[in-house]
Amino acid sequence: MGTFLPRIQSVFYAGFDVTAGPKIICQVPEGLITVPQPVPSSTFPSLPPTPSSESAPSPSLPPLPASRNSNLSLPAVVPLTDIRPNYRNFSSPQGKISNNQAPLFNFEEVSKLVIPGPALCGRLVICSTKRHRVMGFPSLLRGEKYPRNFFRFNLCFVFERTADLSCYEPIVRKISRVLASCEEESGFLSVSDHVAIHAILEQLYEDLNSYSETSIPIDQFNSIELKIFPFYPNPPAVKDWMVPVALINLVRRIEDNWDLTMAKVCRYIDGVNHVSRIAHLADCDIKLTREAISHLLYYQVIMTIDIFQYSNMYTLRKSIQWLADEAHVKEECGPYSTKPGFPLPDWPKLLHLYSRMKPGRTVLEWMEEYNVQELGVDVRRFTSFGVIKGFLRRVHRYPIFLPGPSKTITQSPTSDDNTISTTNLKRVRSFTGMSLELPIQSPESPPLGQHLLRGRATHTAIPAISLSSDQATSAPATPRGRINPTTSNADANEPYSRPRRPSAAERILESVRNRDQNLTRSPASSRTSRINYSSEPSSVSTVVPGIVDTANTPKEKSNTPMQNPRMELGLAASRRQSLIPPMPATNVPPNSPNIPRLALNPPPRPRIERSPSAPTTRVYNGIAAKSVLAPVPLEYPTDLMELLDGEHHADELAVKFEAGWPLLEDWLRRIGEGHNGRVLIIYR
Amino acid sequence: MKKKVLLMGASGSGKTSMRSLIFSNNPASSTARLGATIDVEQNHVRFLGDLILNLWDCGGQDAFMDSYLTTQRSTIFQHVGVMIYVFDAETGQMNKDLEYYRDCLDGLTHYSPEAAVFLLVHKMDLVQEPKTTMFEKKREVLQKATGDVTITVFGTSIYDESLYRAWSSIVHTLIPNAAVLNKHLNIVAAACSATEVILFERTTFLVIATSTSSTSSPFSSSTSSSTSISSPTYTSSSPSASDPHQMHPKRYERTSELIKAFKWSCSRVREEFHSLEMDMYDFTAVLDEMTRNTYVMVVVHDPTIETAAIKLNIRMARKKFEELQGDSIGA
Repeated sequence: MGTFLPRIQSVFYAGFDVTAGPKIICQVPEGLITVPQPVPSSTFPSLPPTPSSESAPSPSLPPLPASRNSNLSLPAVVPLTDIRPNYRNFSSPQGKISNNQAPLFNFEEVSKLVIPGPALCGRLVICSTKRHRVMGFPSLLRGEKYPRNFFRFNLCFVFERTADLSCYEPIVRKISRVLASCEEESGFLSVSDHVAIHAILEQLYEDLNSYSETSIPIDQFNSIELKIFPFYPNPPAVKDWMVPVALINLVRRIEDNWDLTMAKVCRYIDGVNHVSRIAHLADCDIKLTREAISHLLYYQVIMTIDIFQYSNMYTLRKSIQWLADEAHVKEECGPYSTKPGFPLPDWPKLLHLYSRMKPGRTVLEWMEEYNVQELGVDVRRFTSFGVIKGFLRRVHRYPIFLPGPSKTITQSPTSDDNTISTTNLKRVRSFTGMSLELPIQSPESPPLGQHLLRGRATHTAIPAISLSSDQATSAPATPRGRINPTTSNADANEPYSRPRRPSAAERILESVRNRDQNLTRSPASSRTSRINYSSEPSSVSTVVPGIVDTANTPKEKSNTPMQNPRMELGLAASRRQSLIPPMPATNVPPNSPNIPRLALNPPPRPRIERSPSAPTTRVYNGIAAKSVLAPVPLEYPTDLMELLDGEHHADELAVKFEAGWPLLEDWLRRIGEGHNGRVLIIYR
Repeated sequence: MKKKVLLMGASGSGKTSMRSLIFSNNPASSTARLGATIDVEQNHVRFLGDLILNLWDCGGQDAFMDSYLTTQRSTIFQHVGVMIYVFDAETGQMNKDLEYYRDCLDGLTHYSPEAAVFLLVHKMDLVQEPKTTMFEKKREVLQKATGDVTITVFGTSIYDESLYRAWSSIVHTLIPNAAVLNKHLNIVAAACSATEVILFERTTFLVIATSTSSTSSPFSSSTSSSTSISSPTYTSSSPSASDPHQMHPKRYERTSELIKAFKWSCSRVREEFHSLEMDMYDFTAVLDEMTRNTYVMVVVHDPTIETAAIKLNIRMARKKFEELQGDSIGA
């Protein structure tokens, strides 16, 4: 987090001596950075002593012995034993080692990056030693007055290796800039004695560590003014489908002088509403809402999770390995996730439940399989607990449309054009990929839309629907209209092999379709009559294995096998738990197929809500969907096609088009059939 | 084939300037603006088609030298073909220099015992007259410090041709089949009735081979080759019997230096030097491209021979030399 500033361990000023090479001229605190001691000479008597490169002027030391390389006798330094080539000591440059601190590292480790070649000069250079990091800005000043034509220096800061250095970067750059210009103006660095520089280093070290700011006069006209600002990284982009979760009590902190949008938006951050819904509820412009959420993210007072839907899929992350043992996780999960009035399940049980989540299994399926309802676990809170703690991750669906070769259809009087065929018999492919023969009698009926969409798509082999009877033998949804080997679909009655077992939703949708078609002929068809197929092992790998439209599936009182009772329960539960108010069924076309025969309550949907005041949704089939009896919206929005590039996941598309997953899925299926190609879903 | 050439010496002794002059074709005056070398600067110089000189210009400051001799010892001294150690003729720290030199020599003999060692006493232009005495003294000191490793000592300066002589000798040791080249140059010489045929490297204009094997050969010394201490260029050599035309002993390096200067002048007006023909009073000379990487100079003292004829011969010899060049470098 941002407010903690790493402590400066050492500040040093390094330069390049034309005889000695790169060296530390002074450092504060002293002695922390050791300098290599060259081997003393024994062979050749020396000329007048060349001063040792490491020693800073220190009056306390005796004059150095005359040798090419001098040794400083120092406490706490490995004494020179034998004189061998390749043997060197590393010693502190001065006698005193302050504060009993052990040396941090040796200058030689970093000297090539502190005083580097010309390529690195004029750039921020950060290098690491085993336990520390050194940040500096090496400068290279050209000038004829300097020996060897150049003046090099670098004022560096030393930190712990793990420290976050981002807030110091501007400091280091500024210091270098100021010193370089002082040098250019008046030769401050090259001329002045090291005492002045030492004083600057001392002040930097003390002030920045204590006050995070400093003001150091350099000479009559120049000074170094520094202040460290805590540095937060920029927040990630805020998307409309994100759900902000407050980490502190935002509402309590609202003050009068707060930005209006922010104040309004904060009130609707409840961990359930997603951004576009917040914008709607708070009656704010969506762009401003996104900005406000972005600000909250920047200050790290909220975090974002995803929209909860029963069709979501989650999976565990690697961090579960250690988080499962964390006390806070174990202790908080139960109380957070359990509904009031139920006994708290113990952590192993909860962990077991978490572990049963995997990609490909939706929340609803998981709930059913493990009887989560009976435990009294609030599923939404349960999953968001995992996401917030970081051991659970949402698996998104990314639909991608792959154009492919079209197989010729032997008969295809229906083409993509919108004309209504005059023939009575039209080849219609159901969304499941079957070709049906239907007499068209009412032009405005829904089937028309279906025709238009289904054009030239080819489909997997599918059992034919026999339309002569009320029953529609529907094929299971060939997932997304796969490209199939062409078989002549001329004979609609030919039985085909079934690719996979449809889910309840698909069956329902299918039945609706057929029913609608049948309606034109025989309004009395029962919707229950459609389900009649043989199962077939799934051969599709790319398709959503089990799409269970959960709470949206209208309660089916008829013989939909198995799933209804649980779904009902799920509905009830979700109704209680979901904070998304039920959608009024009137203004907007329903998301799921409505079975005309049943009196249905508009089911509560624990998923994307379409708000009544949202921009008008697309007109489906030209039929105002005003009543429960309105048919399924059959067309998909045209914009959707462009977004099927595998980059936009289902949540994003759902929010954008204000459609829940079941409807979205339906559209995708349609697209798969209606165009030459197929739609795959990628789980990520 | 890659050959590693170590260029070491005290700080400020002139290593980078040398490199700039010979390999980068900068004029001597521009070297004054170079800065100190930080640690090792590596250069790959394509010398003769296949031969690549991997030049290691090592900064001479104490901190760097200490590092080369300890932590970087094996990296520096392994796989070395030639070590060139540069001494500043005017240094006040001879002892320190010598000590570092000894240390480097130790490292070299340990890691690359086959490497050739050349010592350059540089900045001879700053030495007061008589230069030869001073040079001799230096050479003795160096020989003594070296012990029994074979060395070759040159006195050099970037302001005259002596540097070319030294470097020509150095590079000559890296070309294994110089004798073959020599033989063929003799054939060309005979065909052209030439006094001398010299082969230069194209970019650096260092002498690769010559047709003559006179005493003033650019490579070998006047004394016996076993001791391999070449006569310094600063001794005057009297014309010997094998040199009836009294050709200047320093003509090779002078040619190198002059042609390079001329090339540089050409480049300043954005032109490229191609060839040179001289029809003088006492000789005719043609300097022309031989192969992709070499130039040849044919010097003829016979007044009846036209430059065109020489050029024709050169053209006809080209193919053979290209073939040879590939062979001579071949591993």
